[in-house]
Amino acid sequence: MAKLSDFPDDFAKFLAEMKTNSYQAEPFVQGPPLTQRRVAIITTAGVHLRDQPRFEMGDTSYRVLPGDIDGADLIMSQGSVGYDRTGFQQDVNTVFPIDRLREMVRDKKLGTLADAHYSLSSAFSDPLDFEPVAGEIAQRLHEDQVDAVVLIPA
Amino acid sequence: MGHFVELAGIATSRISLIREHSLGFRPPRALWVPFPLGRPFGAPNEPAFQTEVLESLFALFNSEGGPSVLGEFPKEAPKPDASKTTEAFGPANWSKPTEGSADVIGDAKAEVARLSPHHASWVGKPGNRSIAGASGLDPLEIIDFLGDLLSGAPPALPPNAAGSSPAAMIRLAGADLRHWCIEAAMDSPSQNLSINAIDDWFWGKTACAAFLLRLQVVLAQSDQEDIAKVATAALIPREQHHRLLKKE
Repeated sequence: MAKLSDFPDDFAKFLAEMKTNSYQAEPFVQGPPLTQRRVAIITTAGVHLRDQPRFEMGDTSYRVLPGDIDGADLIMSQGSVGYDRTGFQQDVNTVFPIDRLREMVRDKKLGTLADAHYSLSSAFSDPLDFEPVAGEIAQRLHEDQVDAVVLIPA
Repeated sequence: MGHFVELAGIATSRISLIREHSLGFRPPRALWVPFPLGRPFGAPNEPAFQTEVLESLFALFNSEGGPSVLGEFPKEAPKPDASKTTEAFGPANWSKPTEGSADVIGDAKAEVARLSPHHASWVGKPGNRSIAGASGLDPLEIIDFLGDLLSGAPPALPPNAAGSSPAAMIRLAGADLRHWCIEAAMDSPSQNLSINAIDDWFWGKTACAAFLLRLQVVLAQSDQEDIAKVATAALIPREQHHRLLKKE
């Protein structure tokens, strides 16, 4: 498992040329200083708790991860076999940096963390298919008064 | 996703592992990182480095250069210093299985028995945990489930498949077997936990990998399209395809 540049040329080309949608509107929301922001994670790495349903191929559903989650309780059912998992095996923060974020709040570099974070699986899905769930997640984020989201891929 | 959430009025900033994708999508804010796919925060057990990446990601929230701000993290991820160990990765005194064995199922089961104490040892250490389990099967159950497919039998879904398709269970079971073996091998005298060292051990030196490689060759020719697709694209990493044996 490697960087894009480390893959065979044909596969690197395939990944680089994967369909990327463009959008008519290009929103850009400004906000308060980071020390006042309430932050949530949205990850497309397909992580979830063991007792939550696994992600299927082309799955556009999401999982709610409680804000007080122990990162060690996460497993991953994302489908991209070419992505390294050994980093996640050794340290959940390689993929889901919950401990680092808590430290940043403790050190007053961030305001607060959300009551919930969200996980999806981007493998074998068209990004446009996520629009409905993005609306649902955004509604939950508003209710939780989140004003900053970090988006993390697999 | 970032575009949709930002449209809803919430600022977003994303990690980008593939720069070309961010250039195409034009997300509101993206930090391109030169890290291996699957490691958006660079490296395990490197908290200072992970925090540095996060701080660069958060710094994009302060940018006024929208509607699409693309940053670039300048540092490569830390790597294990291979010069610090002369030990090869894997359990002590590990021997490579016999190549071309006819009994890939039996060999894989024997290997699981051999690795089990190592797996228990590694998982039992403070801070460690297993990521295997998405399939709901333990390693021997996985080998039984997948092993039936080698003979050409139709997949017999285990009771806890819980609505997953046979193709999905094949993918999950294969991944779980790999994760479990690698966790066992991390109970290793070697401190070389580089991605290459780990991959070379699993794919080149284990009977469980030989089992998966044999399975891929068989299932890639399945008349069930979804199973053939999983075998071709989601069972064996592309850079390991050179190890595949061709079915005669």
